[in-house]
Amino acid sequence: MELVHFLLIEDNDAHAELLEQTFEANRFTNKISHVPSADLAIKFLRQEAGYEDAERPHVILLDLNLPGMSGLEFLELVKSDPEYKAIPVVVLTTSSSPTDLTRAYELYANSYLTKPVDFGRFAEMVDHLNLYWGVMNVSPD
Amino acid sequence: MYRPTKTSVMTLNREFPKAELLLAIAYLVTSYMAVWIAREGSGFSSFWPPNAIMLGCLIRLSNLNVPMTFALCALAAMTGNLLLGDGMTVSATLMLVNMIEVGVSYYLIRRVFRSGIDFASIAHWIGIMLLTAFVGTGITATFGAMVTQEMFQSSFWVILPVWWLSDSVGMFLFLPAVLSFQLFNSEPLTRLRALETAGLLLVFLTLYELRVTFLADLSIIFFIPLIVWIAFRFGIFATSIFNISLSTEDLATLLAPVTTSISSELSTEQIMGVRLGLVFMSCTTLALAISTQSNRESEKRLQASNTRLAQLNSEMHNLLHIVSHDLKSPLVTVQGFVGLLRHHLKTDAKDAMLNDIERVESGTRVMSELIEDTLEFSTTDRTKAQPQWFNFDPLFQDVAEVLEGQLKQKEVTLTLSTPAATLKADEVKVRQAVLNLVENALKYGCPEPGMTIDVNARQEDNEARITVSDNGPGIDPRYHERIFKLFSRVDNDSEGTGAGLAIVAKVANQHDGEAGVNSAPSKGAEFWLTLNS
Repeated sequence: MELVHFLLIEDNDAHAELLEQTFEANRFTNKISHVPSADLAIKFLRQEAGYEDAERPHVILLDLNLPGMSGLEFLELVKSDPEYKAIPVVVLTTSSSPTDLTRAYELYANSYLTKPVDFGRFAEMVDHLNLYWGVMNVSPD
Repeated sequence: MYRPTKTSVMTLNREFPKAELLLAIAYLVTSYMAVWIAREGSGFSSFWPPNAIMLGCLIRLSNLNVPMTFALCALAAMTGNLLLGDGMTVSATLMLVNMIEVGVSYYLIRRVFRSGIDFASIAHWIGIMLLTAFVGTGITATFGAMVTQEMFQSSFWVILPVWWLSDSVGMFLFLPAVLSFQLFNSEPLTRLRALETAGLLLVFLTLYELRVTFLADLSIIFFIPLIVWIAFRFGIFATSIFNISLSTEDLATLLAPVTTSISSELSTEQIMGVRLGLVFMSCTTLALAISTQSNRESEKRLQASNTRLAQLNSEMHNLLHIVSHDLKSPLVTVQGFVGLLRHHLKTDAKDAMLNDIERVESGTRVMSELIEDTLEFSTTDRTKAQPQWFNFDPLFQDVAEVLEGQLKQKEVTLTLSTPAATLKADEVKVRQAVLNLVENALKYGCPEPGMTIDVNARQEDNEARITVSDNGPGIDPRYHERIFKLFSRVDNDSEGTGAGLAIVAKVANQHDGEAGVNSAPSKGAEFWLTLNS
């Protein structure tokens, strides 16, 4: 079975590590690539300089509060590009602002998750995320 | 981060007493005019409307230099009397009497209106009228009548009411001018309003001429409806001009026959009657004008404060949102790695545990930085700018001194172009802004040793422009606006929370200026900040 490839766009190292470790702790059939900004994520998707060997992700995990290009701007760009708009984008953020939420769905986000402060719930969310997007859900190739 | 203000403040606080001098000139012109009217007329006891102009300086106690104003006005009164051909002794006596009158009014106003005068309040306005026109002038009229009785053996009881009433009428007629003068401080004269007033005056003068030529039978009552309408439509300024011109003109016309041949036909009672009529009319129309103006102004004030409140509310909402969001992020880190630590304890993975602890530490550090920066931002936001004169040069030197260590460490050359110009602004806030800009250039504009940062200041008219430029990697125009928002950053490799530029923008905003950046990728960045004094 092919591994489900997640592309994590997260500027906060600690959060990225936390997520990767939690993913690992649950060890499912997936792999994670991490880029720290939306600008680099674009390069990753287009396999530009530095990411020539990057594989097309099955699911994108997107933080909204990013330096430079914001998560919402990235979302708008990806969802208007016929080449990438089929890739499901899961927004994963600390922001519970209703404006961010509405805007994300308006820009065709496929899911919106807020990072719980409590680690137990965080691990649980990662479990479910993994189970749903990594196992149950069928993503386009 | 910033240090207390050094004592390098320029002492440019003593400015030329423009307002005082203008008042004195107004005083000279009106006293000359008033005495001239009185003498051309009937030799009637002196008519002292200029006292009302003096009231302008009394009313503006807080802004004017009181002894200076008194001295200049005394000089003007003296000059006025001398110009009209009075002898030295008479001029000096008249000036002295006048100054006593004003001094008494000044004292009374200060006593009665301790907490300040509200010009929108009719009660206050009537209070000022009564105090200055009746009590103040009453005291000096008593004094004058006593002197006259001593010197010329005239009857005290004949002179007192004539003197008193004449002085009071002068006060009433010129008080509108004083009120207009005062009100202009809160509402500047727009070009449109000036044109409207000039047009109205033209219409008025034409009507007046027509009245003299064709409608001689009609009294000044002919104009009352017109003036009432103007009071409603144009407020105090236009009404004042009307009242002044109408009363002066009417008085001159009224008194003209006296100077020619039929002086005996016009009795003192008649002149008194006309003057009382003018007083009555002035009071009524001015009261109307003030009440409409006060409504208009309180409505405007209400609207302005509503807008301000809405703006503050939305700013507070934004701040709360940003802060809560940004504070939650390190909490997720801390809680997350404590959770992982617990997990690693079970497996006894020491390296992983050390890493977890470091992550927890850095999370709390970020949190504490965020809290500190939020406090700093809100302090800048909350405190009002307190402008004072200072020189650019020592301020730049201060900033260079504070950052000396960091500059040396990164091998960055800082050049300061310091013009001799001085600036009127809040020195502490401006220092903070310049410091933030240079720190920002150090952090993001100097990725490698041997780079330079230029700090420059330029003064044009009332606007000062400070620029801080670096020859670093530059910033994509897409982010030029965003970087001035609180906790927003362009790259995540450098330290800092992203509050520095938000504070710069806030400082510019508090000085009616702006902050921005000119930059393109690999072209360096020029951050600028304008301040208005």
